[in-house]
Amino acid sequence: MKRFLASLIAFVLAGCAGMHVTKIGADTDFTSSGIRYYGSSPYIYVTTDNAGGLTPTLVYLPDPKKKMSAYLYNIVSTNDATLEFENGMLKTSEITADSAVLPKAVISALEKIAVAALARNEAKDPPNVPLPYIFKVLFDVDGMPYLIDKDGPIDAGSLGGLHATKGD
Amino acid sequence: MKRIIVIAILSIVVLNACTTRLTVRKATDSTPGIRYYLPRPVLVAKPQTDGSVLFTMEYLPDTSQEYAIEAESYVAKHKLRVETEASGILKKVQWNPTSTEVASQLASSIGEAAKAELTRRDAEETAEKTAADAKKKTVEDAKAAVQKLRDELAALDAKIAALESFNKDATEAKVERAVTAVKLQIAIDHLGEVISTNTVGGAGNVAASKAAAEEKKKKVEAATAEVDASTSSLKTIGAKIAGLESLKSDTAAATAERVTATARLKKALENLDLLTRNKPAFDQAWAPVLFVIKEGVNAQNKPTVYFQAVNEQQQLGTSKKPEAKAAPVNVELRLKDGGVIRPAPNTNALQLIVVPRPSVHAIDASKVTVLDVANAANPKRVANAVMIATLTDANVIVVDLDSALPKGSYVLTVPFHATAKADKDSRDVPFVVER
Repeated sequence: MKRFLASLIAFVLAGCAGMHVTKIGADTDFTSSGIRYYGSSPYIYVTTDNAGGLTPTLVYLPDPKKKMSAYLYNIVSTNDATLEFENGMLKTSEITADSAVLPKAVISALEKIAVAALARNEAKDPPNVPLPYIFKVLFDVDGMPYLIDKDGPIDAGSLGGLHATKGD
Repeated sequence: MKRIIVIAILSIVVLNACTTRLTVRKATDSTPGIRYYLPRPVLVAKPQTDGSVLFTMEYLPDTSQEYAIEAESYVAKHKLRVETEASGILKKVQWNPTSTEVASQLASSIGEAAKAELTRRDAEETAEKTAADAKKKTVEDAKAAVQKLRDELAALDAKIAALESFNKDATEAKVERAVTAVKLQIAIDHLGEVISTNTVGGAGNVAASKAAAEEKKKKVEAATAEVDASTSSLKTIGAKIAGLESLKSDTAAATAERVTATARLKKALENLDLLTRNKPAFDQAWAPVLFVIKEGVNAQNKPTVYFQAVNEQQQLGTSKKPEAKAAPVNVELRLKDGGVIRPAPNTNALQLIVVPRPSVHAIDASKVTVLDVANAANPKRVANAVMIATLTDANVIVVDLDSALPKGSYVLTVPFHATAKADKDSRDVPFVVER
């Protein structure tokens, strides 16, 4: 009996500190009590290079569709927790994982697709200085990345080849 | 055994009451806790003076996503530290439930409060002393002004007496004396006022001060009228003198005066033109545009993303015509002696002559350094190796080195501005010291 009670107390003491992270939506935002932050997603924005061409830039931005809640709790225990954020995004393996999902070669290919897609659109009515354009990188069920823009997913196959960022 | 069970259960109940909880709620005006905002990335397009556009991603606080962090403890203690960016975006949350931190925090808070009180008292004492010094200075200044005018009056009396003793016209000096006498009276009145308001116990007579102010106003008006009359009189005298002297003087002085007056008139006309012409005095430049990211779905319920400009681009006035940055100049630095220097035979001095091509506008002489690269893998900066570095009128950089610089291989780094408007640049010049 003594051993049982000791185990019970140890169990109670040991299991009373930690952090729960859950993804939340608009409906649960008012009831959740954890630290809210946005997860990050890769985006590519394309701007003028000020020399007649376009420059694609891959950035990880806070994604409103990935609102998270990190709930810290502590009962009869010590729970030294430190959460650090950069530009409002949690600096965790999440960002690293996203980076790992997009190897350099894939990033390069996606950037070229973004520039080609933009070049196709802008060719119809080129302004004096091209307006910036943004693409978001999403992943299909097989984990393959694809881009979306203002019209929806981009069919890379319909581009008919890649264009250079500057003409000859 | 029963006692053991009761103690065990009680222990669990009591220990479970020792709870620390961190709560974050969607903030309203009445929600307690430390506020922070979720970020909203914004692409800022900033037109540059050279016609290009600079794009930067900035993170602004999304005020519709405001939260409040609060920690509560029941039979426990905790330390919560929330750091946010200046914008209010969350930077760091440190949560340490602990039993000792409260006491140390309390001690720290008491210390901070005591420090703040001492600082406040110091500030009060300093302010009082400054105010007292200012009052003292005001009185001293007023006294000095009175004394100065008295001296001037005495000097004018002496001048008038001297002129009259030689039967010369003293009208001008007398007018000046009359003006100075009025000024002196005003200064004396002002001194009385200053003494009454800036000394202890002398500030109470408000009615007297008001009457003195009225009196002073009248005197100022009288003095102004006197000055106008005197000026008119002086002009008449001046014309009279000019008329008399024109008979015996040449036209050189008048010609010089006319040149000065003409230049003054031209400048006045230019100023008048600037003030009255219809077109804007200054050029304009394009203002930045902010783009927010919008995400949604299309008609086929597929996700979409696009930039939306949040402002119409405006033109802003500038203080001067926008100028493009100077194009970078590719400057090459060459050593006159082919990169190998030896101590001068008589003086033992070590000197480098560096020739810039093309010429440079200026060098940052205090930042010219020497690096010891004898060990290429581990180059070391040689302290005090450069005695003095000068850019001569012939656009040659003369660098006097420490004569004790040992034999070896070095690199001289020279920071410079290629043109007056160019950013700071620098070049490395390898050289060898032989002995």
